[in-house]
Amino acid sequence: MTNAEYQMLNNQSKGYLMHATRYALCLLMAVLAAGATLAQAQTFPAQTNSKEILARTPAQLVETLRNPGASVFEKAKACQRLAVVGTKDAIPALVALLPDEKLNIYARFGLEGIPDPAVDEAFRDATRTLHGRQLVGVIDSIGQRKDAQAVGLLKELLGNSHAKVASAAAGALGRIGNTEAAAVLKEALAGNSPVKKCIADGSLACADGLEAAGNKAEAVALQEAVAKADVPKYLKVAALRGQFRLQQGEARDLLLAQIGCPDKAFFNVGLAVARQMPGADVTAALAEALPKLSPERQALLLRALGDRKDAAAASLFLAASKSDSPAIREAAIVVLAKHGDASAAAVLLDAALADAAVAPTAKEGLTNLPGQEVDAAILARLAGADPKAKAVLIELLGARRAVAATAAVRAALSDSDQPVRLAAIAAFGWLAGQQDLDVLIGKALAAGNPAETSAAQTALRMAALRMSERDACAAKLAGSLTGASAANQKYLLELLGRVSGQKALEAVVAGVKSTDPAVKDASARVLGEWLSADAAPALLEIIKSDADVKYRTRALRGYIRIARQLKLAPETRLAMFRTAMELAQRNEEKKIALEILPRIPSAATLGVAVSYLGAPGLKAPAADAAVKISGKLVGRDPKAVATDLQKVVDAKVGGDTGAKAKQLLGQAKAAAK
Amino acid sequence: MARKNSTFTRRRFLATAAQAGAALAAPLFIPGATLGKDGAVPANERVALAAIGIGGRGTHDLDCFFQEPVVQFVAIADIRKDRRESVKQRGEKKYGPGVATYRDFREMLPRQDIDAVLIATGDRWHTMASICAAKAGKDIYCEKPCSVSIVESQALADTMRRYGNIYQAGTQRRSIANFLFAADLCHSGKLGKLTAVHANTLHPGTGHDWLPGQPLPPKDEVDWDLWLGPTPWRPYNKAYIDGGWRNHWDFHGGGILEWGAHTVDLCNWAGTNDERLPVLYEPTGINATIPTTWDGTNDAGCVATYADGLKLVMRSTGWMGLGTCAARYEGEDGWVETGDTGRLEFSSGRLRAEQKQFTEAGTSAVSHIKNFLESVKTRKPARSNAEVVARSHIICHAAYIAWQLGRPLKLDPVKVEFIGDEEANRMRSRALRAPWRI
Repeated sequence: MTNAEYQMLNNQSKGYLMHATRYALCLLMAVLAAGATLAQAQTFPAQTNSKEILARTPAQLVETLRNPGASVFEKAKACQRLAVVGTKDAIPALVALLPDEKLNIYARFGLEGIPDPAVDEAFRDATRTLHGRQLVGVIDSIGQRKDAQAVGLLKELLGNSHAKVASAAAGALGRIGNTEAAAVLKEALAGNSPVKKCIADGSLACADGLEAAGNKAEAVALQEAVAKADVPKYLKVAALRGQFRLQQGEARDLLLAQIGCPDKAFFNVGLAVARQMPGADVTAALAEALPKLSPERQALLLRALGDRKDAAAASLFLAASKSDSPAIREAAIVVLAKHGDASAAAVLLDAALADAAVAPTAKEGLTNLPGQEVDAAILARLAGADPKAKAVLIELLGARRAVAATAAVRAALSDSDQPVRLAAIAAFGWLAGQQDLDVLIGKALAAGNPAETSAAQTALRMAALRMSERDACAAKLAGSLTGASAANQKYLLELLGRVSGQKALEAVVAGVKSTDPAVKDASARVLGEWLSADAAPALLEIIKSDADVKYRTRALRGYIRIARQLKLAPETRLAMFRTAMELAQRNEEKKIALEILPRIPSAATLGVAVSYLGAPGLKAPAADAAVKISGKLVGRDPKAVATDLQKVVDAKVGGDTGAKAKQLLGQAKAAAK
Repeated sequence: MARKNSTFTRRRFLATAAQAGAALAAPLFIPGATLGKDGAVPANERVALAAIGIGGRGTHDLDCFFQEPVVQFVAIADIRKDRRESVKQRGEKKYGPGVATYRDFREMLPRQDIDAVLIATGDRWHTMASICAAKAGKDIYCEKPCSVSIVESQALADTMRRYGNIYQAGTQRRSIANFLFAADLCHSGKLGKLTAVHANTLHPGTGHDWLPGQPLPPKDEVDWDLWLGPTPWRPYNKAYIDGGWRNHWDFHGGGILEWGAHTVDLCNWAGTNDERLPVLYEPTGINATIPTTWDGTNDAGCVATYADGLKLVMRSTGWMGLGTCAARYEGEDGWVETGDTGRLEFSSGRLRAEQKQFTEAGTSAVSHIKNFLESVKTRKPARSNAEVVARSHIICHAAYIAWQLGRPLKLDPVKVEFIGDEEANRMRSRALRAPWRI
């Protein structure tokens, strides 16, 4: 009713009856307005008592379902818990919720979990009274429980005028997957149902069920029925795949028919099956089919043949590598690269050096081909190669870690052609031994040729990380710091950080004492990111004695990171925490340090955490640490948790932390009684 | 890929879509001349890609797909209008006008001109959307995790096997060089007989509370019913759709799965070549409360044991600082640990000598998407296909069930059922809201 209408009514009103009418109209308007607000506002406040509901006994949960005053939330959670702990006693209360639009899913949740045939009976009965989405859900549950007694009922529902109901019935029959269900589905496939796609899908699932039960002939028959039905192609393709699975090696002719089929979908099935169907005769038949295909399809079939790993096909790939078709050549190279042996080296080398289209694939293959004869083949080509080829060959020798080629690669470091030199530098990163490090260090620190310096730095990094004698490597790198430019010292220090170990640590620590600001900065950064706890003493010294607050702060953060992240004994971790808190001058570092405590949960560390509640600016992180510790401790030491968490609650910490604290406190108090 | 009978199919689809009142905001037909601005790839080799549910991670995946010359992006389905529009803009910036938008992906999937689908919705939708796409004949790249229950994992693998689609889970670390290298050390025997594999996981707990209900936006703005999809009804709150669904049990598989989808997967691959499941699951840190915020800094997890004694340790602490999603493999002859920085640490100089240098970040999907597209072309199973990820996800789900129950569980690895524990077996599945079924 609009305001104008109401006013007119008001002007016409006379006597008590009109007053009463006016009052009733006001009430109605208020109710309507409130209803609109209610509907719009979805009056559901936050629901935060799930833990308490989930802890109820099965009998209490059933009572919750029966309680007309229980909220949707309570009933929902009760249903989900009954899914795990419910018994036959819960069935009636759950069934009563099936018609409810919101609670249908929850009731089904609960019922699906109860392994009692009374549930199946209840679901079957419910199909006679439910409609719409609720009915569809119950049919799905019947399928989920594979209720074989429901086949007759589902047959009826398959003919339901509502497509979603019929589809659900088809799906359920598919999941039941027995002979009776198969018969129903097969009959339906031959009919004119508007949900034939779902029936076909159900049939495919049913065929899988029959196959699992050892009923192969029926499964094949059902797959064939789908293949012949008036259904979209992808369903026929799926049925064909099923037939292949069931017939295995007996389906060679069927496979060849797909390989020869112009339709891409069926050809693709053939490709997939071509990889799996065993037998030398199958390989031979596929090889024979190859030339009849288009170049693009030959390429795809070659790759499938390669994946069969049948040595009988090897000559096929070698021949295909010389094809006029780029697609076929590429496929052959891919196969040889992946599955070939040393005999493929020559072909792959030709491709790597002269066929731009397939060179990357050929090179990858050559990198991985096993056997020292491959190294020898590459090395043999090096002599007399032009610079471009030389660079490729050297790259390959490096990637293969062809130790036998080290001398040749070392010689190429001073080749007249820069691309060759660059390739040699990179390869040396893979090949250099401890005794060669000086060569790489020299190039990495040299000025004059930025491209080679950069390549050498990358190569040296690679070599240094590979060195089995880590300390010896670190000693060489550290020895090169003296006299190096600031930029080079920074590079070496970062590399020492990656190499790690005692010698590297010593060098970096020495760098922190440097008077050169760039060196000191680089060293301090590297030390702060050290991956082992033995950097802690050096960091501590910086925190205590460095004149620059920037370095003290950085070192402190590095120290805290070690205490937080790395593997340490609990007492060491706690000692480091105490030290960090003593030395930290800013709350930023104290906050991070407090995150150490939850790593060592105990009554003692809980007490430590709460002792910081009163520290200015630290209430929130201290409370957070206390709550995390309490979470781990509440089962073991509820009294300690109850005592200390009370302090967190009394400190009126807000947000999620405060809420968690209250929740845990309640739990601890209950457990401590 | 050929667009067979495309005009006829699109005309018929348009008629159907008009009847269904689908929210189409662009023409369906994309003329061949506009496909790919450089036109370098022949039309019959292109992969027409559609996407479902593109948020933060999905945007990264989409950008990786956009880098591939064979890909042509044609459509986006999202329950949020703002996302439909922003993804459409992104796609049209790359491919020109014509990217279609749908509120409901069921309107999009029947299009026969779509070859593959990128699914990057929230976790609750991953299995269902993948199965729907498979049943529509599409190849699928689906973000992890791939399932939120054991039964979902099995249904996913069964469906992909039945329909023969190419399926790639977004467990991209299987295609990242440092992780490949570390696994190779295991497979090649360089670590000796393996004794333990360690997976970096997060705190397992999730919560059951509900956020307060808020007024429902118009359906075209946010389709809440479709957002919920197969998960149980609860009142709308914007925080859920803005990424706050994590840590709610109904929508999330817990913290073991959150990172374990990657790291447990890596461990099962490295340790057993994807061939086995552990038979014993012993939860750790079970006295921790179930948090209502996502906290990765404590050590609740699970130790799983294979039949041959190999341990799979799922933990959140004690890592070497090599980056997120770390994994460690220990054998009688040494160990290796690695993480998302690409760095590796080794137990000995002998192993260190095998060192290589890797630069691709563990979070990058570039290589993984290339592998997917290669599989679409050759029909060879993708690296993270449904069979292998189903197995690793089953491990994560079993571990979480053990953690929730607070007791060890034995698993029959063939039947994938817990032995002698009915409660645990009841937790293998979750009921799905109609009309969604797997």
